[in-house]
Amino acid sequence: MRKNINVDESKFNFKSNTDYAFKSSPGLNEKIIREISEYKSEPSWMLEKRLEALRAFHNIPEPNFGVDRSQLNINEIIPYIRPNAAKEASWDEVPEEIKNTFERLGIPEAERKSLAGVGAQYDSEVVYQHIREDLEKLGVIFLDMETAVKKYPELVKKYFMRLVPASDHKYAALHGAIWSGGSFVYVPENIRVPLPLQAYFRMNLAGMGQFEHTLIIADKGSELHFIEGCSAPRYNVHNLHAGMVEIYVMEGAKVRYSTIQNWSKNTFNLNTKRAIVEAEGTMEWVSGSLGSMKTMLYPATILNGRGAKANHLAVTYAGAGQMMDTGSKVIHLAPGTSSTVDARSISVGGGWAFYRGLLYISEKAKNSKASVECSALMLDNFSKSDTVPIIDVRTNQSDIGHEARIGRISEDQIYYLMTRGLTEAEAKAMIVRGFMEPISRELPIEYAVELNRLINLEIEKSIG
Amino acid sequence: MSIERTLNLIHNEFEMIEPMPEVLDIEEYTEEDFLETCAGCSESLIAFKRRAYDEYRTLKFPAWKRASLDSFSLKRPVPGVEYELTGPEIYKSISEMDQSEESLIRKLDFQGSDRKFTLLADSFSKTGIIVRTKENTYYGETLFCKTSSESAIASNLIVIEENSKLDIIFYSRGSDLSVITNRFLIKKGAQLNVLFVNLSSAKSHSIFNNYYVLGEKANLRLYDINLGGTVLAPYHLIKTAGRGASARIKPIFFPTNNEKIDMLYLGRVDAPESTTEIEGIGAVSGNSKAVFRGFVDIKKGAKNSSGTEHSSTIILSDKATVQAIPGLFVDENEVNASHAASAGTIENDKIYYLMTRGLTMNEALKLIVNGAFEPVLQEIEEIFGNEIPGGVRDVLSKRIG
Repeated sequence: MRKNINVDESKFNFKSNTDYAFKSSPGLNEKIIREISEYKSEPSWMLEKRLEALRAFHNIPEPNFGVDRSQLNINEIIPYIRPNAAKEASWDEVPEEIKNTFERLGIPEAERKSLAGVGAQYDSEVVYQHIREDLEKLGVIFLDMETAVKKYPELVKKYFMRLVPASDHKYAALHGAIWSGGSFVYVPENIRVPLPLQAYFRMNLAGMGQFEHTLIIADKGSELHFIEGCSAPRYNVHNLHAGMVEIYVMEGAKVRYSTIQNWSKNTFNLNTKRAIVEAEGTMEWVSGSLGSMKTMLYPATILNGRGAKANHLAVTYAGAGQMMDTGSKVIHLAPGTSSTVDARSISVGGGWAFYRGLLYISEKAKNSKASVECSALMLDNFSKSDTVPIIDVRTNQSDIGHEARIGRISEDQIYYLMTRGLTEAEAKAMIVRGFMEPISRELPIEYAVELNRLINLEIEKSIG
Repeated sequence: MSIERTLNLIHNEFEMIEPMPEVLDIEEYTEEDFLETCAGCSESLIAFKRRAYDEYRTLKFPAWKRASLDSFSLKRPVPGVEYELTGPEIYKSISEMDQSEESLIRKLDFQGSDRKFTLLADSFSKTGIIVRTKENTYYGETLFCKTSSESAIASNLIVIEENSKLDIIFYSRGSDLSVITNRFLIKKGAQLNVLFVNLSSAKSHSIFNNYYVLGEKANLRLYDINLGGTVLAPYHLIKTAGRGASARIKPIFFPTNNEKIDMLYLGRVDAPESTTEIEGIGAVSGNSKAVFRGFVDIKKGAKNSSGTEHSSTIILSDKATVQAIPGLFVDENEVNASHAASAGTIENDKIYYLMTRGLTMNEALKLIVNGAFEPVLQEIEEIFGNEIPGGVRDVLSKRIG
């Protein structure tokens, strides 16, 4: 007898009735950008940056690779929606309907249990931001991006969209023109943030775009774990997520950036994430990409200083109606650098998982080591799984390896588990959890549980 | 009639965007040049060439991001490849193509590394060959096809009839321009062992497009020796179309100085219980560049099939570049598919060990690099005799330094 797996889809796919203080017209033009900038009371230099990015957006052609984006019409996307709420540092002050949304997602609960601070973005604006007082006293800054622009203009000017300039690609330019919300984190020298900071993004309105910007600067010898989560209800029109994450890991610092991406299946997720690591620093990306209709996402690490390290751990889940074009980029620019990539994907219900990677070892990266491992699991015969890594080596003093394997769950494994009383769906879910274990064990327990619940939900749906 | 495309990036309602390559403006052959190549050809060949030429004229030459064809130009006058042929007399000139062969060659149409080059060979070929074995016949003697002309533009058709077996060598040396399209049909239970030896000159542009279709329980062993040129671009698409077909592809490569080799080996597994293995071994030295694309593409319905790909490259110079692009495309879940790639230098420990046994550093290096190629050269020797591997060993040793 089939038992139901204990999942609750309504946790993510509910809609809230929210009042909006301001909703821009759909599309992208100078008038809208000036309006947003004025609404945010931005300094003129930021408006100028936005307008420069807009010009780049009009001049840069669409990327000539990746998922087909012909259904995505920027002129129909609403780029900016301000909920009728001021940014609060106290959860009690957040408007009831927004609070309910995040309560249902379990965000404040998670904060109480195991986080050093939380930022929560609802549509285009951060509505709640809080950091533990002891960390604030140590000089750790954790703010929404808009406040950081006004409070720390010199720091923001120095780092904002320097790692990913608007000229980088069309969606970077789009982001630069219309960004809103996101987090700014600065960790002073030799400060270790003991618990993760978290940002949660919620898209609630049909047809909107979310363009949050996350900027993290981990100064020399510091350490930080940052967690990002996201969700949205499903609508019949397309939503767009084109956020950006820029991370600066200074000498000897260590940053881990964990993501559970669960956008709804009407969303184009065209996100850009990049980190630069100085000598002896370490960058770790831990990613679970589950949601969205189509995703293009390739977290990148530039190893810029001697002995810098990168670890990329990623799991991608392509279920029914999903095309997930994900991967990793690691650029070795200095001697003695090292990197590992462990990318896993699951395709089921007709979904398409595509791994696209780049490992670049420059002439200067003597005595560097890198390994890339891709594993893919196909749960049925309607799905597709592809891997296309590029390994580009330009020095004779390095050691590079790559392996990939695409396989299926064997009938024997399923049969064995079913003889022990599990349903087919439970058996498959158990095997998938085992396959993802190296990723989920790197997540805080609440996120690992959420990841497992999402996987159970997807498998239950795809098996029917 | 549809052509066999290199990649079909479509799945259910989804489609990937295919990158559009940048193009080059290169002075083309004229209509008169084309008509010149038609002189003395059969009506069937002229009809085939005309169709190819009509499409050819609509396309531009690609710029190619990785191998860069900036210095590419067409040589004049319009050349025809002159093969020196020895071995069993089972061939005729392509100029004698009949209607059934024209129909077959059209069925074996494919995209190649770039459609422009596939069509260039089809449009301007005049003196290529058609090889056809007899059913149930084993040919103990190797068919040896050698070309050493200044320019070679050719289109060849090789048909291995049911339950027959043939060994064939294509050997080219010294051409400034080689654009050759080969189509192979290996029918039920047949076996083809094929060896390509490309010892092109340092000034050469060599673009080889090859397409193989394997029938039920057909067997292909493919060896491809690539030793450089300004640009050397071998493309091999092997389609196991019949149940239980198997293909083993073993390229070796070694560019040096400023040479560039841009290789693509694509095993398309299209029928149940079939296998494809690609195993590339190479070295790079000087300012050279090697791009190794080894793709395994397992299609829906190819149940209980397997596809594996592996490439390893030894980097002998600080200025040489290696790009390994191992692709795995799978839309059937009841299969085994894997790929692996490695690139790196020779470990100092190995050299040190050999030097403690009395070898100089250069001797130690040669021993290790030659040792990497040796298993493939021995296989070639077993099938085709020792003449080619002997010559290749000499060339490889000189390239090590």
